[in-house]
Amino acid sequence: MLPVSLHENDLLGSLFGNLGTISQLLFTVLFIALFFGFGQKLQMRQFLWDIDKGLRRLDMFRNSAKDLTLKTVKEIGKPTIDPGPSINVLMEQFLISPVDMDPAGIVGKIDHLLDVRDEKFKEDVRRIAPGADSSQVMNLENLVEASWALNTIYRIIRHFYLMGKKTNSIFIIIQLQALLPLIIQEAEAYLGAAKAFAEGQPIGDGIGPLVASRLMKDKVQRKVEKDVVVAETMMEDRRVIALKAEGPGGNVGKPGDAIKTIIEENVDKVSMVIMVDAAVKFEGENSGEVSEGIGAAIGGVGTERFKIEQEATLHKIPVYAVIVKESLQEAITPMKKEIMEAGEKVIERIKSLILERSKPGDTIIVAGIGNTIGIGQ
Amino acid sequence: MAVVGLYFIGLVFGGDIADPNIMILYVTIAVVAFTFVLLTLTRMRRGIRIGAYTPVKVLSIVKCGQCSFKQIKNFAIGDFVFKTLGKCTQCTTGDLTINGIYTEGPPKK
Repeated sequence: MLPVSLHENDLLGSLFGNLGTISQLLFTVLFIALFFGFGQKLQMRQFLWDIDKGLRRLDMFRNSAKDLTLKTVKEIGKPTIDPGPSINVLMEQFLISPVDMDPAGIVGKIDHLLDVRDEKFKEDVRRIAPGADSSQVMNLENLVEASWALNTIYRIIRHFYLMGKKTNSIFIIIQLQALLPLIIQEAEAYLGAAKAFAEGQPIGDGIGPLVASRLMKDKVQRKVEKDVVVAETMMEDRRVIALKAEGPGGNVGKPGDAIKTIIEENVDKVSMVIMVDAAVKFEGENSGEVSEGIGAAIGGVGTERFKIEQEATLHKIPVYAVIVKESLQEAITPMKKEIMEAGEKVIERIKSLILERSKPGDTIIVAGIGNTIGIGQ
Repeated sequence: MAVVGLYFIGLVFGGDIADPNIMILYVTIAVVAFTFVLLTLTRMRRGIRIGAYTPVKVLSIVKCGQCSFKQIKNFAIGDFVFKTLGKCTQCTTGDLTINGIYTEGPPKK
């Protein structure tokens, strides 16, 4: 039998001799505990950091837009009282969409609500900027809307961030973290739009009005429905009625109502309607590419498209669309050179469409759809 | 994580470890730690790039309706497409009009 001390030394020796094995075991246990036990927690913590950073950036964007709005209102509008509280009220404004359980007549209801909202917004802006002319009021209205959009994006993201944090729900957090880069890009575009609206610069969405204004330049113009101007011109021996929202203030007008009026003024004479608009491109496509198709090329909630489709169906008039491809960011930020240059290509497409699809002497409506900010006529 | 990586690299190159298995384990931990640091850094850079707003330069094209005069100037507040700026300085008969307003946009990477 060995002495006790020798036995202990042997035990310690074997223990130190097997240090490698112990540390290996320790690391394995640590690895399992860390990555399987706390992996999700760690990942969630990292996602929350990301969202927090994004949220701070969104807050910075909304504050920049709000400051820009205040500065522009003070510069252009020459208000007698501080416009800050009124702008804060406008930034929190909302619209309650009508009940759609019985969808019959819902387009009229939405149209009415949008008209009321539009009118109220315009009146509010006019009140806080009494020194602004009608064009500047339109631009300020667009600017306030861009600030409103940034404020709304921030509020929604903050809501889901806090909710995810409160409920510890990884699913809410993962979705938010995955979407955040796209949301930040969109918010950045809105900030660019706010700067364009503050200075009255044409935006990518204005390509439709730009084409229409080129057709109606130096021609006799008249105003039809709400904020829409119309002029007649001749193209390839056809009578072309071009229309666009009245510029250069930021405005989209009501082209649906205007097209309806023109068709009713020229019963059985209109042989086709050509709509020119900006359309969102797919990733990988080039900005400023021109494409043509069939149907009413107009965005928004759908009320204007509904009116055009209904009128065209009633009178059996074909509706053609010529679109200029651009990204969502390009559509709301200052117009890029390639988009502006696409205007000439669009006119060529209109000419070839007219030659192929109509006879000399026909009446054709060309509608330039989009925001006409910075584009006169 | 960078400290962890450096610590394990130090252990490997310290020369005290004889067991090749332990050495492989330490090298693996160091590589994982450095990869984590690298990925975190690239994520941070991506985040910063997305959030930075770059103001764009907006230009106005001024053309004469009569002669070939064309000028590209910086956009000024109040400019709009088809705004008449006055008589042409070259032919003195035609009107100078803003024919287009655009931005070049940032150069493609």
